[in-house]
Amino acid sequence: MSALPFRRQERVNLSTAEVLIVGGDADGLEILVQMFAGFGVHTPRRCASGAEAMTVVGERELNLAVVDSQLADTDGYDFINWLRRCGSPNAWAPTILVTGHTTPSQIFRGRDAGASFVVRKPVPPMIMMQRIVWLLSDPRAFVTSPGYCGPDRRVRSLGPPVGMKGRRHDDLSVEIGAAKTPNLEQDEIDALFQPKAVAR
Amino acid sequence: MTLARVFSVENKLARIAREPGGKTVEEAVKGAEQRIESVRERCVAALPLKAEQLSALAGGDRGAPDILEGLYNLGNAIFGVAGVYDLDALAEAACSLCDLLQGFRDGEPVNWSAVEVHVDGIRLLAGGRTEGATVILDGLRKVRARFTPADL
Repeated sequence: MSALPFRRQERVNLSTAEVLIVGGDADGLEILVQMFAGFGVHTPRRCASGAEAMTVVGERELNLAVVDSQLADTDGYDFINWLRRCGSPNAWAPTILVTGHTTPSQIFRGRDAGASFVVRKPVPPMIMMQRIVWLLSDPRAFVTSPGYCGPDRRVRSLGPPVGMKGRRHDDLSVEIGAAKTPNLEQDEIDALFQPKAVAR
Repeated sequence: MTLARVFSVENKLARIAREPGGKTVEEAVKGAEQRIESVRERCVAALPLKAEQLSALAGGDRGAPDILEGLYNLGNAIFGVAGVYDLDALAEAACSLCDLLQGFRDGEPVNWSAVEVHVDGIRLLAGGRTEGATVILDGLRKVRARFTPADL
């Protein structure tokens, strides 16, 4: 196994976690269920359709939802959109959207539906576990608004729109203007990363 | 006035996952890899069936309203399973079909010959054919390049 992107000995106890796994392709769903069983989840709840999953959402308190973009009766984006607005505490459950063939527009669609993360197939268990570990310390607040319900999407500040003055004294425009000095050559860039002896 | 509300919610997953017991992440990842391997035979055996369904759909009523979506979903399902079990040539062929169909679903005129070539390639590769895979993929790449933008 290659190097893990987190501490190998970090413990994760998912045995009592209520995990909902939804996917329209029987084999793809089986692979996800086996993955979570291997992670230690005792009884992953598997559903092939959005309708089945909606029933489970109404019956159980979920700790994690893993949703394929392709379901038997609808798509994963619409299901997550519904989940975030369903009015039960499950609306705030961490939700991972798993996509197959993935275009940038599908990633934005998943984010805007309210997914906590979007993961592209094939999903190695190491990548899925990394996302779970990230979710354990996810500091994002939740947002509800007429146009969006889900984790706060604001992960970076782009400053005020180009040509407009910001309202805060430290607002910087996203337009950075032309360079005032020549570009660094590659060896100059490399030199910045090389340790050097420093005279004391 | 804005109707947006921003608030914190308890991270119940974190509370449960930090309870004593469980597995180290290394054990969990190994356990998952073993469990996925345990269903390899069943999942791989279903691939030729999916390829036949793809072929039947492509050869059926091309005026049906959901035909492109149905083909896309089947291609996507093949891509997902083939990728997990390192059937790289089949995964690439299925992904190429999805690229092609995505363009057609977005309004490009449908070229059924391009779809048929992909379906035939996927059938051959799903049947376990490995010799000639490079030639099949080269052909599919050329077809895909004719009909889809380079950044897809």
